[in-house]
Amino acid sequence: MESNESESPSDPQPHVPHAQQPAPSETAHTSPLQPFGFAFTGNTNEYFRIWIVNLLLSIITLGFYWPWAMVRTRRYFYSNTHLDGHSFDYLAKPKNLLIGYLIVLIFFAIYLLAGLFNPLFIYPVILVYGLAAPWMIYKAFRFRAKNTAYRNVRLKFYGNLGDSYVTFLVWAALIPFTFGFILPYWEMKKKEYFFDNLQFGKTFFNFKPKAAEYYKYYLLFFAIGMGLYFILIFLVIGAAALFGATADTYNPDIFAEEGLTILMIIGAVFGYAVLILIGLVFQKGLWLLVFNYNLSVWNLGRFGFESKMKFAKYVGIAVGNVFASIFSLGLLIPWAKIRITKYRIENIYVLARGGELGEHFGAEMEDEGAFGEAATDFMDFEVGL
Amino acid sequence: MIEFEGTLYRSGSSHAFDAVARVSERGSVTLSVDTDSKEYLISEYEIEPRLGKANRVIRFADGVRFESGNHEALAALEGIFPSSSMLRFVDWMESRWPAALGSIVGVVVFVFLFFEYGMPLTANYIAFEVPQSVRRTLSENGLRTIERYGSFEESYSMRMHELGESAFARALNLASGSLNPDFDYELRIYESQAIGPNAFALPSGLVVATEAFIELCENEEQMVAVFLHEIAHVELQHGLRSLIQDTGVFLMLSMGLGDLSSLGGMAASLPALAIESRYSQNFETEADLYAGKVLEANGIGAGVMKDILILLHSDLPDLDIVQFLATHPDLEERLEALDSLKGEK
Repeated sequence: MESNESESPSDPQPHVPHAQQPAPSETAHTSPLQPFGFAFTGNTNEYFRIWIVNLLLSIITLGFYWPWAMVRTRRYFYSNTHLDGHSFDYLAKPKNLLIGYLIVLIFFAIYLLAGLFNPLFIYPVILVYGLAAPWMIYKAFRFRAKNTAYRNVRLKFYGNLGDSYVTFLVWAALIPFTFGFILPYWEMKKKEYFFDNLQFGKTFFNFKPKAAEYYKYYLLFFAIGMGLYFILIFLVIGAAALFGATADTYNPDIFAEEGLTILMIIGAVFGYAVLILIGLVFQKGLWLLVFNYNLSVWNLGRFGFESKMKFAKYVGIAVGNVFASIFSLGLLIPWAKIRITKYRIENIYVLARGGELGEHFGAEMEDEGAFGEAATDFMDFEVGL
Repeated sequence: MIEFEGTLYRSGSSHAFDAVARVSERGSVTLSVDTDSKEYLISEYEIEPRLGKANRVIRFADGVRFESGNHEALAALEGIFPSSSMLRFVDWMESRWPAALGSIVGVVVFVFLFFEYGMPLTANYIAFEVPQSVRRTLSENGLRTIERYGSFEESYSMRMHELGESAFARALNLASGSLNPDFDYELRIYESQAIGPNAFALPSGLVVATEAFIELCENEEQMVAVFLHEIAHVELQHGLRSLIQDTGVFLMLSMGLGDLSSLGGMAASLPALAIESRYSQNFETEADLYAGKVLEANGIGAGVMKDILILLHSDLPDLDIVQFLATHPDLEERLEALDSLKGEK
């Protein structure tokens, strides 16, 4: 079993049979970038059943089945994601997820109890949580990367703990002092901490986004948001003045007042729905623009990435999903999740120069350690953040 | 012997080979790539649990990963050497529509039983286990929080105190047969423009009434009726029970519906409010009935309870469309519940 490793097809051969033909490696450098798409084979028919069974088992065990449910769900999505005919693996052990889950549960219980005795007691709890959070994020990133594999090679997160404290504590603490102006920069630093510290086999990922791009998107959305906010305020004041005037003139009796109150409640509910809709469009839209940008500046050695997701299409799916999930009382959640995952995955491309994608991976992506070694590392866990 | 084809990846290598797996009767697996082959003992490999129609993966101790889409062969392999029975049961459920539909029913039934009986019973048990010293701290803190936010000050009027104390003593006396000695009953009278005519109870036995409420009562019996209602809240520990229940509801819903901080998660707050309001309305009816029974038993009659409810209610119109979110049942329901007491006699 230890033999023919060197026969990997893309290894440059010393003897080229026909001198006229360029060597394969040269082809790779001169030919144009070629996109390789991902495929997603998950479907609602299958996933609905997995989801509802997991939900039932999670609630009848008062949440303790949750880590097993989580692993099954992730495994389902990973193993149905394919690149170049090979699927992804999610390798986490439910026990390790359970540890993280219990840590969060204990924190939350202490927080609630402290608040009951004296509202002031919650501040030390928040402080401890704040100090522990960067460590937990660091652990979670390592865990998530290590348990993601493609073609028997794991991802590795090699970011350090100090950087996590700088990113998630120092920069976060500066936000109030800068009146939120560094928020886009902070978002970028958070992404950078994860995506620039990843490694696949022996190859490193590179992620060097430009702050100007982040500011461009955030400021654009902020400006449109403020504009809409003022229009809404104007409409509300206008409506209130109109109703106020009619109420004064025509409706002095209590019945009409009740009618007016009902009208106001309906108006408030409608206004609230519109506000949520606008908020969702903004949230999903901003996520998409930043995501598309992030992929364009992310690369793995010679490979680049590209997202071809379209703004209107993506926002339509994402916002539609939220409303479908709410109005179906949750029953359409699996359908919504499959729909958005399919759209996301099937619009992401790996850019490679010529040849087959598999050849490049075969040639250079090799894991260092033994596969089973990392799996026994019980000190790593993931915290739901 | 079971034999099936698949894709093999060596330890730490992304290179894929076409391979064949052969399983012996003793459970050892031999993997072959071309003429090259290696045998693994039954303890040296692990089959990932089945999940939908996705390819199955077998992991070997030396880091080899073998992937195959041959579900029948793998099922046969698992049949000989059983893997985790729990996950096989889960897979059995997941692969059948009747089981999935049964799960929907199961979820609905469990959620209903949990919120209707499980949560209230748990909260009831915990509430009475809490030491009185903790109840006192909670009550004083609660009152201080209200003082901080509203124009809410203790009353200096001697007349108000005399009227209130007299009615309160009478209420305690009427209920004395059934009072739990753990609670320290005390009446405090407050002056507040914002709150208007109102009375409420805190878990330790602290009962608060506003001046406006004392003025609203047409006679002492009406005041006694409301104080009995508040005493019922203390005796049945409604305050602590709702605190525990509401926290439980919040916890369960945020776990079930995911992250409450997200915009989509905001929708989860509506069912939470509806469930909490249902608990609260049940408590109010319970307190009304307690007061009504004591009044009936002492010859005063539940009628005074109805009178004061109507009086208290006169400046608050009922809005049917938001009733399911209200903390109190609507007036008609409360009056009907009190009428039913007479029917029992």
